[in-house]
Amino acid sequence: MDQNCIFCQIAQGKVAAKRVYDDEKCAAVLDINPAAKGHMLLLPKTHAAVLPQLHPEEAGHLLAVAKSLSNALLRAYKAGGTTIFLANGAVAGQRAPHLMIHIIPRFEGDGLGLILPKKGIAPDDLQKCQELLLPKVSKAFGLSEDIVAKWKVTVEKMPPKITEANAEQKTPPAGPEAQPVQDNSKKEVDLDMISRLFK
Amino acid sequence: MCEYCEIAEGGRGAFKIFEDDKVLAILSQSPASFGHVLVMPKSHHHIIEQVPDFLLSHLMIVSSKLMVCLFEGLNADGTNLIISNGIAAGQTEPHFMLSLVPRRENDGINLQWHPKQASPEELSTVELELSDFTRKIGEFEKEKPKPIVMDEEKTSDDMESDDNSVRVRHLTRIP
Repeated sequence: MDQNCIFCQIAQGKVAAKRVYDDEKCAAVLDINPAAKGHMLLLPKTHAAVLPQLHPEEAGHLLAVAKSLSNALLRAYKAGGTTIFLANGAVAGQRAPHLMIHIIPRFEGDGLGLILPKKGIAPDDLQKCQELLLPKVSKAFGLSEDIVAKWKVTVEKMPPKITEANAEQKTPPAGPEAQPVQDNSKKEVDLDMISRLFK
Repeated sequence: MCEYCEIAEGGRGAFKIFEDDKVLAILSQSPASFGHVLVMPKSHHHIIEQVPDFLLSHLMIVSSKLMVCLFEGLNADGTNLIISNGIAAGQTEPHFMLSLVPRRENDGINLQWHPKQASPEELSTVELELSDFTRKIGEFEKEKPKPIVMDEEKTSDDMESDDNSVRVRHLTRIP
């Protein structure tokens, strides 16, 4: 714990905040400047500024908790979805020196933005990008060069990206496979419905 | 079949960045910035609520390591991890995925929202409204241990040769 970090203190319960979740590894509080009603901040209890600094076990735990918190927002506010957002570095929009995951309830047409732009890219540039990344991946995951080399593809072999125009035929119609998602509890909010909107 | 399931099963090409038995990371073909990586489970789920907890943990650990690669390999100054969960959140693909976006100064990406002022009373109301739904959180699903299989795992080479032999068999059947 960093004594000077206000979010460490919040996570540890030493500074008052509206806590919505707490366990030995992390805590979630309500954002006092929310993007929308119910906006939560999920904070690891150990101090880390960016995700790669956090112990993998703790990092992994955060996303499992984020799922449950997202689920709570869908149910409590009948939200149409959630945005789960993390920023590493000031250029990415990080404002505090403590890692946090934002969980924001979303509604159709809420005008919040938070949508990634979709830009075009030449296949050659994708290949270049892959070549730059694979040696680092090999190092980060301790994989042999041979294994990562198998992931390389030549541009010629790449199928064309499914465009918006032909995506409609590509997406199967509301099929029976989408329907019976193992429903294990009394749910007022229909997760199937949220997920089935794709069809 | 879902485009991403096809990639996961090897039936469709993609610029893979990482793969293991459970997850896959590929370069986005409509990236927000150079080096935009999509990390996803190989199994098909629409939204995060349908993905098993242990798989989410694994996805997060892989994402964390991939972020290091984005910093080191592409000289990113920052990264965003974003999950657009549900159409209302801007989800466009029917397969659950995390986006890892390398960020640079003046890259023109705007992921800021307009923060509202919430009064202590409003926050207390929200806390109360959520408490019924957050109180029970705590049991996280662990991966079931797999039965031990003595056979060696198939490598992608084996799969290719299998594929060939199917084709060859098919050819020999043609009169």
